[in-house]
Amino acid sequence: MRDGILVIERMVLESLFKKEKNLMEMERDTGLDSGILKNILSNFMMDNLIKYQKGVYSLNKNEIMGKLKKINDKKQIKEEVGELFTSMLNEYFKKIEQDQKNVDIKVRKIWLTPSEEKIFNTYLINLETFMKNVEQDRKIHPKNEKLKEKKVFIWGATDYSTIANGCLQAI
Amino acid sequence: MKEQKEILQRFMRLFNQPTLQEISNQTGIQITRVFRIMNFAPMKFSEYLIFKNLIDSKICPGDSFEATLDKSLNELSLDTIGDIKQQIERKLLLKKLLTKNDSKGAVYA
Repeated sequence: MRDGILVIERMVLESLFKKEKNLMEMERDTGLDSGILKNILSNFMMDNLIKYQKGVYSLNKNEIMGKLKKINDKKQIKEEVGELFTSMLNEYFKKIEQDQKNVDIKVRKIWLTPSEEKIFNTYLINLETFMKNVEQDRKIHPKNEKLKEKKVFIWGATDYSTIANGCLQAI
Repeated sequence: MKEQKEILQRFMRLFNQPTLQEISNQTGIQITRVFRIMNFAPMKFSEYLIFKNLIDSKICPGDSFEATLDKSLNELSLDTIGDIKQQIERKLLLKKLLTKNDSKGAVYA
């Protein structure tokens, strides 16, 4: 099996992780076209990560656990997050041109005093707590949510100089 | 032959499925020869280069992608080249997933 997976491949694994499904259910859950799903599923079946029985696809949990380390290797995760971010960025600028706003990205450069930084960090902690609580609540009270309707959030902050140094190193 | 088929499919896609006459006008190759090439008569090297140059100029007008790539390989660090390579490989993989079951038929349909 090759190292790492694509975002749409992870979607398939996540969908099956929730519950085994037939092709139509997977299509509804992921929003991916059945042709693409078949290609992804057949690749995973060749890698023995997915089982197919009587029209139903399910995760081969023993195999997945063994290969998880490879799939979630730091370098591969970096590529995957990069893919998520690039896609979000592309969609954002595409939507701006079309004046639609279902993708939102904000970039701010602000100088913060130490006390303001503490306030900011408190907001971040609150945000993370809120997300963890929602996640926890979904586990206890599932709402038949579809994978494709999940919201993707990306956030973080660093010094301007760190960004500049990163840019300089990437040549 | 695989390379010939790939370059012709690419040409047809990039130039929005031109007619035989349009291909002939763009490449300077006679229309009867274009018809034979499109039906997989082996291409001459000079014909292959004509298609390849047209594709290159369509993708990167003014400068060829290969020239940029060559320059990158000479000037950028191994890590950066690795990053770019990884990104291209992921795009190719995605493309493969989207087109895996695509046609095996003639290029010109």
